[in-house]
Amino acid sequence: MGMQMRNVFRRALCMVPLAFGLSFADAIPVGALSASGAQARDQQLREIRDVMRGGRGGFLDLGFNYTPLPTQLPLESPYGEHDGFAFKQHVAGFGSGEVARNTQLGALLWFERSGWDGEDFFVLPQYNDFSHVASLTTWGLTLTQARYDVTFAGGMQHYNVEHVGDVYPEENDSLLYSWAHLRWSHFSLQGNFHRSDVRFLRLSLDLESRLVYGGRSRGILTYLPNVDFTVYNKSADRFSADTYRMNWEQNLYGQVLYAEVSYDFPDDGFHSAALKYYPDASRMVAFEATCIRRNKEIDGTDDLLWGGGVEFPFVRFAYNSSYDYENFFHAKGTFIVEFQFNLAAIDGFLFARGGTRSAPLETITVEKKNKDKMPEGDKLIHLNQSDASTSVGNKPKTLEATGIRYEKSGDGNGGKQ
Amino acid sequence: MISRIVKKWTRSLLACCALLALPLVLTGCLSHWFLESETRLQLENATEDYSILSLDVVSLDGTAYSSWISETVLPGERSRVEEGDWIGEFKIRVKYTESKDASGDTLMDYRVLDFEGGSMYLQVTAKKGKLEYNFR
Repeated sequence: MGMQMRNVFRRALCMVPLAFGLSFADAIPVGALSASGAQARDQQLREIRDVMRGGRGGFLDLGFNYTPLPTQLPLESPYGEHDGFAFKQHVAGFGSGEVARNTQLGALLWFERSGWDGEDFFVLPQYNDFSHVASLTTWGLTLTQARYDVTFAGGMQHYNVEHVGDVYPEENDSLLYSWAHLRWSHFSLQGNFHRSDVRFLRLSLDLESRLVYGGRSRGILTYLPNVDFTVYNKSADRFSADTYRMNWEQNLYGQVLYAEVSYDFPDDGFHSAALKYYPDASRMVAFEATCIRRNKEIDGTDDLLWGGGVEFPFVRFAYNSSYDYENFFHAKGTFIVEFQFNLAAIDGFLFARGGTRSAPLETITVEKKNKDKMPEGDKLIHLNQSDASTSVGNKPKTLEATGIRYEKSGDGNGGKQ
Repeated sequence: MISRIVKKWTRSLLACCALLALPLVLTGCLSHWFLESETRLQLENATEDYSILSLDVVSLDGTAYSSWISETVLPGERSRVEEGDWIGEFKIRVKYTESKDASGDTLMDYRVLDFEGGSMYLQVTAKKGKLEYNFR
């Protein structure tokens, strides 16, 4: 009886997404999970590159993926398809302060925990025979010399495998990498190392002019491209030669419409492309249409996967988006919900990572303040006066009268108000 | 003025927390009220003249296997309950003999079965010389 009830419940639960036609997602291959560490290390350093464009200010990011159904992202092992949950939790922070004239010292920390498990959890996984739970921590210190517009950052990356089932390809359980980032104006060079081996080197030319970093808000300079070129050292993988990837981000219209293309050299060719629309240049909200070429070695097919996504300040929805395909174990065929929030700050400007102008929220506040300056000022005085009767902050004013009087007002008014 | 902004921010912060708390509540333990994350399998040999030697899960390409029930189950008998992390659709291999006392040549039967998790009772019957599998 109990089992029947459960089956009925289970089926009823599965009917909800079925009704919307978004169940029956494709399984995620074990190869995508064991390759996720290298991808995450690359992605975290790309994010750090973006945040380091100013070299100062602060940044906060947190989020996690929400996949409520065990049939949504099953695991494809040699034995078949296992019901379970793919997960990703991430948090990142960066803060800096002026330690000497024109010199900013900062610290950053990026953390991600991801994998696949038989249960959906927030802290403690089930760790079953087919789980893959790993975390990646990137930390570092940053030093910016504002006068020469130079930033140097460096630190370590820890890849730590908490649990790995027998069905996964062999991989090292815990690895320690180091990284360094050097930026001068619009140019930056990034390196990732394992002991004395170079894992990858990236040259970025962020030529686009951005208002938040003291650039232009419009004009021809905002139409310059952001190009990066990465060399991946694959000598550790027995069968592959070094690969090169080039990314091109291009402002198409007023820093709200962008195109992105990524290309692999020398053999693979086209990798991915995206068309992104940010209703506001602060990038708090984003709409994207993406296309990614699937990997023949892992997926068995060499075709283009089309998808898209919508991002709001606290939540992101995506279907077959190239970001999830790359950073969430080749997830496709299902709606992905990610509860996430990220905010960058520099010189009082607030924007999302990669944004070029300050968030509109702030601009409105400033305009309001200027428009009705007088009434606002009056209100301010009133507010202070009404505060005076109750708040302890005005103690010195009443102190001189008598201590008893102060106590009385505290008894009479304080309790009621 | 400032206190009002602080109040406003606190309110929106609380709203954000509530928004984040919703999926937090839905994730994790709550789903285990109605979702199982393991299969507890018991096998019954309901045939009259076949002995079952073992039940394994084999990989789709046949190169690997993982044993699940490794116990000889004679006609009319039931195996012990064995727990396994198998939830989904898998190919199983049942080793059996055409005798009542597990003697004779070992034969193998392959089948793809859907394991939904929780307690599962697998009844094996024989019809016209073929094994049939039913969950009860």
